[in-house]
Amino acid sequence: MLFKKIYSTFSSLKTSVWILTAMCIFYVLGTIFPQGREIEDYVRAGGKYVLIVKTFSLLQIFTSPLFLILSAILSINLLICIYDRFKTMRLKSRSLPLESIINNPGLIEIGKEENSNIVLERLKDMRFRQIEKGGGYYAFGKGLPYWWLSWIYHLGIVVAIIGFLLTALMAFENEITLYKDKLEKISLYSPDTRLNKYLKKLGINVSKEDKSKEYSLTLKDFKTEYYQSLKFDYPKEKLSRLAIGIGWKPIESAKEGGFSPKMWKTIVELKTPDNKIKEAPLWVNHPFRYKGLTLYQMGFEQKMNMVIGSKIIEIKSMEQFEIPGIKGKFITSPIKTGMVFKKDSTEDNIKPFFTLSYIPEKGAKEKLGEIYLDKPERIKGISVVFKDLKEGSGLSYRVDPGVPLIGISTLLVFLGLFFRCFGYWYRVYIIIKEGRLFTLISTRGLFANKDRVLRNLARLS
Amino acid sequence: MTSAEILSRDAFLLGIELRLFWLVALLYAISFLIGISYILSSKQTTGKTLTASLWLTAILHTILIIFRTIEGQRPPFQTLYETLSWFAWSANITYLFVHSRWKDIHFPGISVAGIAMGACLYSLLTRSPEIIPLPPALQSPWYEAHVIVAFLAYAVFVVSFAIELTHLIFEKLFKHSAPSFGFPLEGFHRYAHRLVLFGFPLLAFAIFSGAAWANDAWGRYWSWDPKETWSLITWTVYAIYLHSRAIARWRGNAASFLNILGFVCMIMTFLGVNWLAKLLNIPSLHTYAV
Repeated sequence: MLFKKIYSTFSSLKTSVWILTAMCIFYVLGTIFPQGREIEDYVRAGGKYVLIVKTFSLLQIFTSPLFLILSAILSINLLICIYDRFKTMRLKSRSLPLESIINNPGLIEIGKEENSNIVLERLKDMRFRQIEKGGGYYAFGKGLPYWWLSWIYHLGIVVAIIGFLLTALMAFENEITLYKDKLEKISLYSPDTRLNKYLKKLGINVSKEDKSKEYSLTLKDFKTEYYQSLKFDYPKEKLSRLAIGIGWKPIESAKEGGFSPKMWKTIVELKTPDNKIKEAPLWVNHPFRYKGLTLYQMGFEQKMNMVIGSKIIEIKSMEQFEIPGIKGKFITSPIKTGMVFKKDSTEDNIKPFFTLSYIPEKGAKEKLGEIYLDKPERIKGISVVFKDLKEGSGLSYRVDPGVPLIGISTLLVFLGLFFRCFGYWYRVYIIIKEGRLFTLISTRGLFANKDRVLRNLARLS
Repeated sequence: MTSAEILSRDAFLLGIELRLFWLVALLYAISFLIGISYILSSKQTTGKTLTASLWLTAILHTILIIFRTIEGQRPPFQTLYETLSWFAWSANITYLFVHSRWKDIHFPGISVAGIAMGACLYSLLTRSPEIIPLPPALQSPWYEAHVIVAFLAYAVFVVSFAIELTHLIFEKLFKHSAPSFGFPLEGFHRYAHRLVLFGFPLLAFAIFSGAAWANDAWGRYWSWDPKETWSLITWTVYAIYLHSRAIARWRGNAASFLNILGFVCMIMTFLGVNWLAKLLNIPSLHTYAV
């Protein structure tokens, strides 16, 4: 009895609607509370609801027990619905009982009995196939069975949830910065996945490494490319914008805007676990894939030497550093180097340079200007040369066994939805009763045109 | 060509573009005002003038979109300045396409004109019109498909919202005086549903293509980024709406409310999430769209 009640609750459409509503509330909370941050960051940023945030894990809401329970409930709901609809689907493929057709308010009279043969022939001409025939009763059908399509995309969502679960349990990612001629090793095995952590908690031995999944990487080449960027001094003030818009004021002042990133390209030499050597070219949005390994271009890192007299200090771009003898700190912009693609369609090599800023112990950051490499400069009275630029390619690699399932689920959901919504399905019933001809037409899908079929039949009879 | 010559040429072209864009915004505003007078007068000629005005705006806006594409030598939907214009244009075109089936029904055009006017003015008054070349993250084969389909879905949802709003206004405020405007109320409710049915798989494709793109760019198909999450919220709300149409008691006003909520979520996905991310200092992977 209880089982029946649970089953009927979970197979109900209303339950699905309420579960989806609850999921939405979690999603919204996930966009209000910054995800992946620590509670200390939240407090520092002036967060007021510390107790609630802590109790309900609102900063890790999508891995919180409440969300996982809700996702499990959604999965159960979907599985029961899929099973329940599967049971009734065979019945659906059959026609409605004659009595319910006759009593249906949608039943329309289309003519007299003597025209029935013309109507039936016309339906066949319109590529309707006869599904059932009884005494004075005919059922015709056409199009893709919508209940199967609907079933397929619901199944796709279940497959997606399994994929998400695999990702949550077994996926891991790491970042690596490669410099030329320096060998780095990466492994497609991690003892720190959620699954391995759970296994460790259960006292099951988890190995620390797996040599059969180790790859060696050497950077062969790394290139940065830029666009020449030309900028207008477009006003921010609304009335000035209106004045330009209606032609009272021209766009007057303009300035050179430096460079904006075009692409970062890397060539890596890869040594596979079975000692094969592969060349791996990759750039942003164009990862390199080999068996289970995928390498992604993420960014770059730049190092250079700062020479002050006989002293050589290695510094990194975009990181604060000190110049001996000067109070306060300094920071550089990314060092512009590589190729620039100009507005006049020409290309040019960039003479490496960066913008240097001074951060005093008290007060605001001060821009000191552009500094070219290998050119002696006087900074706050001290002679400095920046030289020996080294660029490292920032790559990431990720192992995610959930991706193939997500791919399959995407196909199931999209194709199911696409054909369910953009396809057509018809069921046409023809009833002969008391010398008169009636029809009942039911349709699904955006391209099903009930009126056209009805017009065709009414015209013939 | 020197840099100065290129800048002078670009400034000239941008000047033309901006004048055209202001004209388009003005025409949307005029269409909106005609729409208001249509409500007050309920004259068919005023309704027809509204539609004619939207057609004229659509033609000029299409010229503007083509002009911007040639100017930037890439599809015109990279920055928020561009996507707002694209959003207004696609909503108007979709409305006019849908309207061509109705002939004498002009009421939803008022909401569409108002939304398009708002989008154009927001773009013109707050965003920079500068043409920025595609950064590395946007140089993907998924880029065009993802954005075009997402905005087609948005446009369909705008029109569905406009129709649903018309339905609600007439049902609640004008107490079934719809016949004077020449349409049956229930037909509108059904049409709004059909439009959501059209937009729903498109939004699904936009989410899937975004996930596939993210998987190529970062190796992570889903990051719970605010924009991603809001697109999922929008999709879920429309899923609830479509399910609610199968529940007898929810088929009427509850379904209308869900359709309007879906539209609000869509606006949150498109614009609100940028404000939310700024307001709450949440880093977003979609910063180029701000």
